[in-house]
Amino acid sequence: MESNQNENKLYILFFLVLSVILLFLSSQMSWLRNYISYVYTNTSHDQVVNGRQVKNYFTLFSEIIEIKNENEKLRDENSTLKSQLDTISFLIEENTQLKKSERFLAKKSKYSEVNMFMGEGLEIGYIDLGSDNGVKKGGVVQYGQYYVGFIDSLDRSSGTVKLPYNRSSFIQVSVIKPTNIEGLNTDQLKRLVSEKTKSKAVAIGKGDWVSVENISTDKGVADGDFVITNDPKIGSYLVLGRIKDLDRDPASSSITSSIEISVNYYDLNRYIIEIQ
Amino acid sequence: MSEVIITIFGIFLMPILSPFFYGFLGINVTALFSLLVLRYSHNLWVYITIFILSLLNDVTFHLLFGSTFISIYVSYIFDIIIKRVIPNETRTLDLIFTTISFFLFYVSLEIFMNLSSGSGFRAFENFQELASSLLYSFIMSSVLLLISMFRTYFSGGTGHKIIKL
Repeated sequence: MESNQNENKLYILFFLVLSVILLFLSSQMSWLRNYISYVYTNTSHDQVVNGRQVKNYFTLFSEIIEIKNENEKLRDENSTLKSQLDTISFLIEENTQLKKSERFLAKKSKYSEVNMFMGEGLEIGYIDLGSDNGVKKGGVVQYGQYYVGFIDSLDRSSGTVKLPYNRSSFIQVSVIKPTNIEGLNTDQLKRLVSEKTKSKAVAIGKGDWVSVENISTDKGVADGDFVITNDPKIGSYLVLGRIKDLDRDPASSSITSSIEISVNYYDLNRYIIEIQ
Repeated sequence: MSEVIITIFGIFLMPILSPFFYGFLGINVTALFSLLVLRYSHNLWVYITIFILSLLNDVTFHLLFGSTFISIYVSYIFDIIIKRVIPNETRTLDLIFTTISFFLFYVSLEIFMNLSSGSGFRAFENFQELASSLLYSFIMSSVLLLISMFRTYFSGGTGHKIIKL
């Protein structure tokens, strides 16, 4: 046992001494290095490459997760940018419409832009201007030459707008022949109404639709005719919509119809309001 | 593990495995294998195997001949000394001391590497090298500990059984 241990120590000593000798003679032993290199280096290099490939394979999973996260982030960013772009396009469109409608507005009156948000249903809208801003009760909210509603109640910084769909909304209207009304000003529209009126009628809100009642039977009112406000409480001629689904009851003394309202309240937020 | 198996494995398989693991994890399997073998076996063939492997390592890393062998013995001597100071070591202590052994191997190897490249007598060039050496030492000692545990389990030892029957 002891002789074995002594042998082991001898081996250790021998190889250590050999290593130290090799260390000092390393520069003279280039032939040995070249020989080993010739035999082994190619294998060694190939194996290092193989090991790296396996390592890359494992790191691929983490990279896939990273790419996935980055993709999700980019998609989020893209959605945000898209929605921002939509908002900007919408604002530009709205602004263009408002600019176009400037021509239509009466020069003696003062107007202001107002934001209106819909309540539940189509009967009431809320505006962000109040009496402090010069808005008065009964004032008309319009979108260019289109009628939106009138101020029903008001406080200092906000108000509610009664829309044509409101069940307590009754508006005297004129039904006129379909014609090009784009770019007309107030006077031109007034002249058009006096020239082309087929019949007078009343637009009554029904909650989710608007009916036109008391249309004369013999005036040739047809689907697609324009419905223009002609009411002293509104004070100006504004487009409400077009006749749709005429109900011709032979037994009735007048015709009833529904109106296709021109303004989509859910798509628009900015309107014009007359102020004092 | 008989000496014949060690020799066959060492001379025929280690030269292929060692560079592969160097590429894969960056660790030096030659040192791992050498310390593992030296802990349990002492035979002329074992020394010859380790010596041949260390020469291959020297050629691979462009070191002076004998550098790897001396580095392996530095770590082995530390391993022996620490076992004499603290003989009843736990697995945690074993892990720590083996990590230090391998770290000393890396320190020694780095010194020889700098000597062979003419950079003078110094170990690590920056903190990153030191930290990576410590990490490699830890990985190697963990692997060594696992191998030891498997070895004691399969050879029927009572001290370090993974599953106690």
